[in-house]
Amino acid sequence: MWQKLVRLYHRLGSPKWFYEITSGWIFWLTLVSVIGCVAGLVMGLLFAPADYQQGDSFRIIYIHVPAAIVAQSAFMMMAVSGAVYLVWKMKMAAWVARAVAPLGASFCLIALFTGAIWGKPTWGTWWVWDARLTSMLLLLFLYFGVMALQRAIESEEASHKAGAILSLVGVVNIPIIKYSVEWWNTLHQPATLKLTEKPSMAPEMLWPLLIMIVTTYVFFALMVILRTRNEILWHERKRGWVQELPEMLGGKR
Amino acid sequence: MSLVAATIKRDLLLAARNPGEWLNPLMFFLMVVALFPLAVDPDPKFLARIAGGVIWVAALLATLLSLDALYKSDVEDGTLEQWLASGESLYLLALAKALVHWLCSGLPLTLMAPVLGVMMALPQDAYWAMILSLLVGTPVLSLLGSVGAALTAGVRSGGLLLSLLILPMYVPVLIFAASAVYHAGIGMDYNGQIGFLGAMLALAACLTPFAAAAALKLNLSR
Amino acid sequence: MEFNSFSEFLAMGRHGFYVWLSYGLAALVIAVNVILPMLQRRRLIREQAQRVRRQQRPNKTAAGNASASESAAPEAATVKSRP
Repeated sequence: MWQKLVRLYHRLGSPKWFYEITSGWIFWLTLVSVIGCVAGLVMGLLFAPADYQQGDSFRIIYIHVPAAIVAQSAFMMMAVSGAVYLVWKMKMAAWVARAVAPLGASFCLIALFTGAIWGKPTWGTWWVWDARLTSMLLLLFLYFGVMALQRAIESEEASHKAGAILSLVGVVNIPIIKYSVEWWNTLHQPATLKLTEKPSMAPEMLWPLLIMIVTTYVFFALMVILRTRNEILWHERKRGWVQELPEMLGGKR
Repeated sequence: MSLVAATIKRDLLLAARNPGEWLNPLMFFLMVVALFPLAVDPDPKFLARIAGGVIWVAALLATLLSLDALYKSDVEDGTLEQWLASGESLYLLALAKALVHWLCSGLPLTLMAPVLGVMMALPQDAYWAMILSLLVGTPVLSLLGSVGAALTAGVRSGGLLLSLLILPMYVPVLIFAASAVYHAGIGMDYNGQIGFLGAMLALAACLTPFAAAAALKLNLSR
Repeated sequence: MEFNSFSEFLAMGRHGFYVWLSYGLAALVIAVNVILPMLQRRRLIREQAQRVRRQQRPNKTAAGNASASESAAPEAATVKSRP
C-alpha cells in the first residue's frame, strides 16, 4: 500500500503522466459533477421542506455551504502543494498551487455573495458582521494576497516559492483568525439567528446538502485539473511530447 | 552571533543617522488619528468609545508604512548575499531585523500613544491597557510584517503589495488589542486579551523568522 | 414535492428574488471558471500549433533568412497566454 502511494507520488511529479492520465478523467468528472449537481439541486429545491424559521430562503444553503467548505479546503490544498514544492522541488506541485488560488478565491466569492443575499431575508440587511461571513471575507483577502504576490514576482521559481511561503503562513494564521473573529463576534453581537447552524437538520434537508458538498469537491477537482493542464501545456511548450500531442499537430482544431 | 549583534548595531546607527525613516511613520500615526474626530464626530463620549480601535488601526497602518524599507536596502546593496555567504543563521538575523524594526516603530508608537489617547478622550482607566496592548501587540506586527517585507523586498512597488499580504494576518492582533483597550475603558477586566496577545507574540517570535528566512533566500534567485 | 405549481416554485414563498439571485450569481462565477480555462487551452494550443508550423516551414522552403526572423517571434506570441 505504502509502496503504491510512493510510486503514485513519483508519477504525479511527471507533467507528461499527469497530462495523459487526466485526459481520460475529464469526461467522468464532468459527468459526475453534472449528475450530482442536478440530483442535489432537484432534491434541495423541489423536495426538501421549507425551513420553519427562514422559509424557502434557506435553500441558498445548497450553494453557500459547499462553496464555503471548498474555499477553505482549497487554501489547505494550496498550502500543502506549496510545502511539497518547497521541500521536494516538485514543479507539478507549484503549478497545482497556482491553479488552485483563483479557484479558491472564486468559491470564497460565491460563499460571500450567497451569504450576503441570504442575510437580506434573514437579518433584514445585506451585510451583517457575522463571524462566518467575516472570516470568509478575510480568507478572500488572503487569497488576494497570494495571487497578487504570485503575479508580482517575475522569476518563475521565486514566484512559486513566495506563493508557497505565504500560503503556509496563511494556513497557520487561518485558525487564529477564525477563532479571534468568533470571539469578537460573540462579544459584539449576541448570537441571534445563525444562517446555517441547526440543532438537527431533517434528513430530507441534509441529504441534498451532502450531495452538493461532494459534487462541489468533484467540480473543484475538475477545475484544478483543467487549470493544471494549461499550466503544463505552457511550461512544457518546448518539450517534444507537448509538440507531438495530437491536438498540437492540428488534428482536431 | 557577532554578525547578528553587528547588524542590530548597524541598523540602529542607520536609524539614528536618518531619523526621517522612523519619524515619518510616527507623524503619519498622529495625522491619521487626528482625522477621525474631523471626519466622524468630535464628541468626547463618542471618541472615548472608538479611541482604542482608532489608535490601533492607525498604529497598524504606521507599522505597515515603515515595513517596506526593512529589507529593501539589504537586498539592493548586496548585504543579503553577504549574510547568506557568512553561514550565519538567517533565523537569528530575521529575528534581529524584526527586533530593530520594533525598536524603531513599535516602541515609539507605544510611547506616543498616551498623547493620542488625550486627543481621543480615552477613558482614564484605559491608558495602561493601551500601553500594555501596544507593548505586547506591536512586536507581533513587526514579526509578521517582516515575513511580508522579505517576500516583497525584490518586487517593484512592493509597499502596496506588502499591505495586501499582511493586513489580513494582522486582524487577530487588532481584535484582541482594541478589545483590551475598550474593556479597560468601561471598567472591565482585560487580562485575557493581553494574555492572547502574549500567546501570539510567543508564536510569532518562534515561527515567523523561519518564514522570513526562507523568503529572504528567494531574493537571490531574482 | 414541496411546490404545487411552477410559479409557486419560482416564488419560493416570497423569497424567490433572493434564492434565484444567489443561484444566478453562483452560476455566473462557476461559468466564468469553466470558460476561462477552456479559452486558455484553446489559445495555448493555437499558439503552440503556430510555433510548430513555423519551425517546420524553414525546412521545407530551405530559406536561410526566414529562420532568423522566426526564431524570436514565437516566444513573443506565447508570453501573452501565460496562464
